Amino acid sequence: MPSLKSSLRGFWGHWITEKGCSMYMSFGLLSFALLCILLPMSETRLSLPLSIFVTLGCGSGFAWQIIKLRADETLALIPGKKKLVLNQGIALLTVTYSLFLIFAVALQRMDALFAAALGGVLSTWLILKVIKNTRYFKHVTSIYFLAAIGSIYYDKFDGNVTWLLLLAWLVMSLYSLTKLNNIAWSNTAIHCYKNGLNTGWSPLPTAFTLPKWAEFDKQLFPLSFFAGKTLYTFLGTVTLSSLAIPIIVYFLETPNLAIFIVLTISPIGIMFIRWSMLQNSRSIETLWVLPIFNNRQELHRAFVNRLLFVVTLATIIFWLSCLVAVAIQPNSPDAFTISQANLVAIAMFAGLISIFAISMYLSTDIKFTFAMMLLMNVYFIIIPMMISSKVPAYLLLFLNLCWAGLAILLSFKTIKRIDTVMQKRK
Amino acid sequence: MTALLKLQSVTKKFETHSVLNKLNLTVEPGMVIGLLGKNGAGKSTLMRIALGLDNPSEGNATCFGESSRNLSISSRSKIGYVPQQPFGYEGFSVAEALKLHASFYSNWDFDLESLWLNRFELNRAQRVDKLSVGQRQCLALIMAMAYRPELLVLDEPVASLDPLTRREFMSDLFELALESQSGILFSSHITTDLERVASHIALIKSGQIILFEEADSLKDKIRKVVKGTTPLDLSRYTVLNDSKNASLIYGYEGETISGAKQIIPLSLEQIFIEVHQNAIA
Repeated sequence: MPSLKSSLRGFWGHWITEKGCSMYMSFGLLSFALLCILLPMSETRLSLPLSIFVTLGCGSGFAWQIIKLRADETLALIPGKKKLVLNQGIALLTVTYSLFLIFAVALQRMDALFAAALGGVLSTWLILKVIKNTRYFKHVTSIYFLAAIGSIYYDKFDGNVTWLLLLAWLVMSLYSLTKLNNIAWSNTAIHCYKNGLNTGWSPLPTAFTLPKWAEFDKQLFPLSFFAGKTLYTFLGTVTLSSLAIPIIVYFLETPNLAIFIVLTISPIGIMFIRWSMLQNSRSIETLWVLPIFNNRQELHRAFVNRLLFVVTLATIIFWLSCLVAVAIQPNSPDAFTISQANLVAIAMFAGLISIFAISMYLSTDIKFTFAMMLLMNVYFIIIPMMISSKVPAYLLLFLNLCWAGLAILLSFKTIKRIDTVMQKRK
Repeated sequence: MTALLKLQSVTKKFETHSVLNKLNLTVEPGMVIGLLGKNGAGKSTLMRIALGLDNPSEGNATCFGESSRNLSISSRSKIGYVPQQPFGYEGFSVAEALKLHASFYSNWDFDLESLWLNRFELNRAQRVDKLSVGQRQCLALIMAMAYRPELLVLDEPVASLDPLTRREFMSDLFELALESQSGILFSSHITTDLERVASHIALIKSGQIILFEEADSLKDKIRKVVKGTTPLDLSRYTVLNDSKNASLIYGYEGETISGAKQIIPLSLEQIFIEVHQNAIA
């Protein structure tokens, strides 16, 4: 019987400090930290998605480790390595799910049970797919979306849904345990691993990236020089998801789901732009040797100006869609107001700029991922609070404008780090 | 003597394309076999099948007398393998990675680990994912060799090393084989390394080992025979390649060949090039 110390050897390196796994684990841990704050408030609207994100964070971390194991050609020859990593993963998932089950039973909270079951089903599905083919990991972000949407409609589900999910999860878990032995080296796994590190949470497969539009490309230079097609994909996705807001409001009478989608997609888009820039890190030298900018400051200023332009454009599209939604929404007691639309749009603008500014400041990927997850969680708390807050609208507007102003100042300040960040990446 | 590694009539097909074709190879203790072949000749596939990482379409692969697909823990503890793309300890520092890796082997030699860390000038505190390709290769070599495996399989182990490190590594490799009677199978495109270290050379072409010979006698036994006006009788030799003006023969023992305009000795690199010259239809 191996000792606890022996069973935990390498745990920190595998699950916490490894870049890819830390992306998902830190998201789960952070969601857990926020959940601990929110739990006493009995606020299911926020605690439910956070609970699901905790279980999904651990589940996707485990699926990521399977990719890593499958990318290692020497795995089958190192006695005990596969078993060690898999046992650590199983223990991690068991502890996480057990916490939810204990919590659900002790406090009679069905929502915790639902969170564990939904998170469990989705995580186990991902794990099973990754055991079969590592390429399925590209669906990870879609799973998070699905979970978030599922949590929104929790109230509408019959109690039996939770029990059905729980049963499905149990069956799937037992089945996946029998499949873990099949994990073997795959020549495509290393590409999935590297691709996953580069694209991070990007939910957009390359097939959906939009082609370049030469004229617009010039307008967005030098940002377009670094980020390329990602910029158009970002703008295209924000436009499409914003256009969905009035439609969803018209049919479902609530803007929360639609706004949630845009507010999730847009920070991911900004993070994706940052990833693209880092992938093209050598381009900064190429750009610098071209006779375009007189000095570094000029380049930095041009860069931030273009970034502000892109974010403003995305915000305007989102804001206009919100206004249309306000105009066409059916009469209901919790109607979406113009004031709320303004507030959410400004918050989106400030949030996106902040995310970019912080991403420039934090050069290492782990710090960056951690900060992003924190910011996204804050983002998800601030915005729903704005929609339902009792604080006077003018005060919220003032606070929001201050945040936006601060974010712009921060972006000009941190863009100086662009050279350092890209240098470190090499 | 039990062969450390044995491939018998191994065929590997990827869809309709055959990478290995009824290939036979045996590695015995003390042998250092240098595997030479063009890109895509099947060297990596051969190594993977030999170690049970991939299934052959036909034929058998055994290590220490056991089927490669079902190696026992004890046999796996005696194998060292360095793939072309070493991977697996991202997220760890060099020291942490070595500590964890060492924990999987009961006979890990920490002195050898330190010696090689110093030789490769690897910083223990450096993170594995920040290592250069060459440094990552060095770490993989330490990980594969610090427990003194009986069978060492190295897929282009020195491709990313600088000449000095490469030379030192090659000499250590040879010493290791001599000292512990390990068997080593390694592939490389650097023919000077093969000439310096390998006890045997295996030349792979079209999925088959077309030449397997002791390194010392290989160059003596191979000649390029330039054709004259009279027809050549090369029936007593193995013709490795044949063109309009010359033939590459194996089995030469110093005799004169009637009809030959010229008999040219070749270096290993020249042999490799001549073998792969387009033959006449």
